[in-house]
Amino acid sequence: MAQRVYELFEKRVSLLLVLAALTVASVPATVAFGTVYKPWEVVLGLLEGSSDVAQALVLRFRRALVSLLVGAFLGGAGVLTQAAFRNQLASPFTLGISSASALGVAVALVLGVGGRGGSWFVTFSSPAVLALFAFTFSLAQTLLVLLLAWRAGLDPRALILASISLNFLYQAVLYLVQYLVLNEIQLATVVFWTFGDLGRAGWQELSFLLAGSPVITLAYLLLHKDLDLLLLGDDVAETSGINPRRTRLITVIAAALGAALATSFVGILAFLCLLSPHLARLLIGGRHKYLVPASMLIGALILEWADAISRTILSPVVLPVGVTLSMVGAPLLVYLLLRGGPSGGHKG
Amino acid sequence: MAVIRVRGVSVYLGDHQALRSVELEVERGELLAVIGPNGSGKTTLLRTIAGVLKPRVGTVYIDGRELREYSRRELARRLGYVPQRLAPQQSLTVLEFVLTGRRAYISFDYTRRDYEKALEALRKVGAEDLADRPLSALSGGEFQRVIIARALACEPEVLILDEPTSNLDPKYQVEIMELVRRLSRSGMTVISSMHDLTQVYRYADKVLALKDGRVYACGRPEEVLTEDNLRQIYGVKVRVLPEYKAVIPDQLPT
Repeated sequence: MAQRVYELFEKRVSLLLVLAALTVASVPATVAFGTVYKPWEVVLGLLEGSSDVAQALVLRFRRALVSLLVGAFLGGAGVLTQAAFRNQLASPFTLGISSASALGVAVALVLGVGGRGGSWFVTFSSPAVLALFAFTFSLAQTLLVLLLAWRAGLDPRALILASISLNFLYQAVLYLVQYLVLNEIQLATVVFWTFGDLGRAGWQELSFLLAGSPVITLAYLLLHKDLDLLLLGDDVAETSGINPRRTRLITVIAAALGAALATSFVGILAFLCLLSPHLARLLIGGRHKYLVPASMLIGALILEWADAISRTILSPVVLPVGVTLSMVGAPLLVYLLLRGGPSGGHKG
Repeated sequence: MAVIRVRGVSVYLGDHQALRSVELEVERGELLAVIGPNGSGKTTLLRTIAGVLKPRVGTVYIDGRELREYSRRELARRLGYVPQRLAPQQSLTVLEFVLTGRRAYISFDYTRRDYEKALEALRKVGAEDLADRPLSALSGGEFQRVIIARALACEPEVLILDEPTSNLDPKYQVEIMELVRRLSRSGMTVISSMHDLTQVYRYADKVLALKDGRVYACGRPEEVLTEDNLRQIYGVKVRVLPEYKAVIPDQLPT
């Protein structure tokens, strides 16, 4: 009997290994797709060359790496927030990260530090400044939400209420700034910024993502046993030996860090935070030891291929990956929900 | 010496005083039933003993040591807690669920030993063959046994159950109470809130009756479960049938 369970666990580990292999193999495989198709063995050979094609491929390669990291951050952050909020429809963006970061961008534009805006053009002195503002605002928003929820005992309901109300406040301020202060070009910049787009991340951004990845990955993976307990309710968590409020705080901060980092560089890809945890749960079950890495890998895989599709489907136009993601992902998620997954909970 | 001593405990939920100067002693291996109408403070008392709620006044002692001196982990190893409602939203196998009861023993990850302890706990409740089933596929009675196994996985001295039989059909009710008594006979101290007074009569060693957050009566079942007491506590006339060890409502349908 016990043997059967152990075999199940072993199967899950091999499933994770397969996912990991696919994620890595998808980097050269997706680099092949774009305005010009190059088979992947050509891709691997050309990366060393210095022709024009090689340079284009290097840029695609960068996109693939960015999508791998961003996808993993968002996939992991989704699982973490869902456990913290005890709600499978929650995501780090439920915390209001999206509107906060968009406001950050708007503020950077108003201050003129993100690039000078004439009435007909915007010159970017350094796009990294926009990212920095977005990041700072997202984290400030998260801390504010946590502070408010803290006053109310840090239970999931308090978190959601604090998030939603602050979210609306941020949106209102954003609209106000857009309405009164920004010119058309700046307005377009903010709007365009909210579309998730991987092309925005340059080498500098990639290096930031890379630098953050070990810490974030480790934090996500180590939390697994406490995430299991958070889902069982605060009383059970408490009597099982952990402090549910502190654990929820750490979980939300870790998730917000990953999501804010990703969002600052590539814009808003909220949907991924719903889609990959759900797929991962169907594939590997609800135990976070497997669910967290599975959701990170699936997030990376989805984003890699969604970006490949974005580059090819209307070629030579490159779509923002956020658009592709939602167009393909939303019907998929609805289908999975209607088919009835394991999310129904236990029966009486 | 009493395993659990509750001394003059008053607990507030917000502004509402849920427990008023409660006194209680539970001996090792005793099966204590906590009874009383809805809102009388049963769950509050259990949560206070489990260390989830902090009394504003008074002290809870476990093994002669004050509850607040224990760390969460130490306490989690001594007390197994089974809440009234538990709806895991995740798809877990039974063994994985029971394993979470071992959290107080680990730092990074569960080891082979924890798996074995979890299986042992499942064996104790007679649910070993469910180990690889998804939680969502269990019947009500099976699920209740598995939740108890989860609480046993931490190898507790004291088991705290909040209305363990309230959602079960008669067969499972008896099955769970037999299990609880077996555990108690094997030396485990059990504190359980209960609604079914017949079961209280048949299974409890000791009964604590709460009314409006106060101890109304405490003692052996036949001392506490009298028609007079029960009318006072529940505000309804019942008939006690000592020869059947049963309590039934007095009112026949009109």
